[in-house]
Amino acid sequence: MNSLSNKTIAGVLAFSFLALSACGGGGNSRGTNVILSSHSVSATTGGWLARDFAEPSTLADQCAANQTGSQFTEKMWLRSWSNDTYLWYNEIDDQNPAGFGVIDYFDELKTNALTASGRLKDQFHFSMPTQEWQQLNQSGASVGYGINFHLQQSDPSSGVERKVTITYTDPDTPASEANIARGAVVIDVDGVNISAANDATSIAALNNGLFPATDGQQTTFTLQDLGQNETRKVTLTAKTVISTPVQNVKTLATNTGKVGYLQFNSHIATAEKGLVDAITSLKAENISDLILDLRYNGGGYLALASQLSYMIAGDATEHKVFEKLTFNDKHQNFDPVTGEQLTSTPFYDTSIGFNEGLLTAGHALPTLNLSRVYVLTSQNTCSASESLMNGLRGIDVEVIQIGSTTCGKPYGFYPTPNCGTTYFTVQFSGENDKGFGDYSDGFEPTFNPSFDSEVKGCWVEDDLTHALGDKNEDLVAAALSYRETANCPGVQLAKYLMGNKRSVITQDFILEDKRMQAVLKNNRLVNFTR
Amino acid sequence: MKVNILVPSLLLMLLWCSFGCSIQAQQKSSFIEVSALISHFSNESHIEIENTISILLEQQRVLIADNAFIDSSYLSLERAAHKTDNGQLIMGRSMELPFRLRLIIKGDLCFIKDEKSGKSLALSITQCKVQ
Repeated sequence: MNSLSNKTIAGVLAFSFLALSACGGGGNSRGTNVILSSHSVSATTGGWLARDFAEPSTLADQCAANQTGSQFTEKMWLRSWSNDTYLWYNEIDDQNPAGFGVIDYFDELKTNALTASGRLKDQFHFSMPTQEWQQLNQSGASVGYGINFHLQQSDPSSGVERKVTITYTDPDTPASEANIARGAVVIDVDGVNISAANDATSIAALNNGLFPATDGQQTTFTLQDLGQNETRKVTLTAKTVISTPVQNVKTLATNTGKVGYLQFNSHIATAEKGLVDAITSLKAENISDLILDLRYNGGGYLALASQLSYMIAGDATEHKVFEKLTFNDKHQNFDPVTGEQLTSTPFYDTSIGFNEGLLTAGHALPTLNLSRVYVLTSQNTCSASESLMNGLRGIDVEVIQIGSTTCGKPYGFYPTPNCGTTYFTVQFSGENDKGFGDYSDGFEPTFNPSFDSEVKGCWVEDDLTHALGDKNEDLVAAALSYRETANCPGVQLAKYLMGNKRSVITQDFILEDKRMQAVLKNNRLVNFTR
Repeated sequence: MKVNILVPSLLLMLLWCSFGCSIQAQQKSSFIEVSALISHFSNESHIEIENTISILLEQQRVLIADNAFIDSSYLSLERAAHKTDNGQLIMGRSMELPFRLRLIIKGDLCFIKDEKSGKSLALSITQCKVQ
């Protein structure tokens, strides 16, 4: 009896324990609060010794501001981190950090080598307060009017006047609702004349009006619309607008078949659905060629460039690499930041689900299966857009470039925070399937290419007097003409030479969008603790 | 004798526990996540959503548009387009993916959920409806 009772007790206890355990599993179904990770503080190391580098991790997060370290430890971390991960680490002059401010010292930790054309090889060395870096926007969202401007700076040495022209507007924005369109010239902003402004106060007023930073800001513009002699006044109220990265998808009828046109402005999350829709509709139109307008596309998500390349080239991408990343020779097999084995970026043939509300992951992408593409470019065509061109060239898709030389940025980095500042130092370069990635002077359209960074095509200046996608717009017209005749418009050569003439611009009086420039390397604020 | 008292006590405890479990199970079933939309837009709700996302993702500032979670329960967020002084994007070649969030209803509460980490935070002002 006792024995039986003991077994019963044991069984009941065991069951009760299991039941309680199960009950415990049902709890905590509410929101989980974020727990900030703690970090250990290493001891401050000794003095600087040339070519003697500590492990970066032993110097990380030792900050002057919160007295876990000092400016010296911050600089020593920068030095070790650069020596470990900077692409051209062996071109850094290892200077004693004493006597430098933290940001000034970071500015020294880069190569001063020049490209073949004589410009600095590394023009991509930045830092900014981590607070600034940690701003997230809904995909495509920003405060403004939905206008993109072309800013022609004043250059007294060559008699060029300051001029602001609309390049394009986004639909469903204050600008489009006010019927503002490409080619309109801004005459004045809140009564300040664009071309006549010649003092800092006036320039500040222009920048403030053109690039509003706050929701609700009202600005009155005097505009001269394209083709109009009269001007008109328009008052716009800034608000959070959503850009449309893929616009103006259309087909252009020619005697030799339909040519598709696609304006792709930014590699942002919402572009995935836009690109799929665009390629689907162009495929349904059975186009024989594609004009891809990247003239205002400064890049973004590299995976989108890979996807669009697949959607253009299709079968030709099979078993090919879109881009291979190369780090410095200390990291030939593993990514020094993620620790993952280095693998190549493929041509993605399915959706990734950048914005699952628009398109979920795993859907087969449409493809045009083209062996040739006309790409419209400018100096604003940069980074991921250049990767797209390079990736296609790497699998022998014929890329014909119409426009001007691209920005020349085959490099990338992992933004890395330390002591309230986020640093950007070049850590990798990208190469296509043929192993080519040396286009730091940009891709240049040339009728007779001699070098790998020169691309067959025509140098043509942006034509702000016609709508984008218009058959008479100079870049589109040149692409269509080249397609028919394999020749470039002759009149553009003189403009090319003029365009390459060095200008002298008064730096104090330039118009520029400073909203997201984030003080960058001139910043001195370090009193922020993560 | 002690055993005779102990066994009913343990059985009672087991019964209580089972009852408790069944209540929790009911609660748990009512906590099934359901995709949601905002049922009533207000400035207060807009600010609450921005602040909640900021805390959830441990980011300093968040900017969303008025249409966030109005037509879709999903929202993608990206780094602000920081540019150099010559107008180029700093992160023109990004290896990241966007932050992907979903508005959900669990029980009687509305939450914003980070699809990557699975973490979610409740909203107190914002009114939601099942999508």
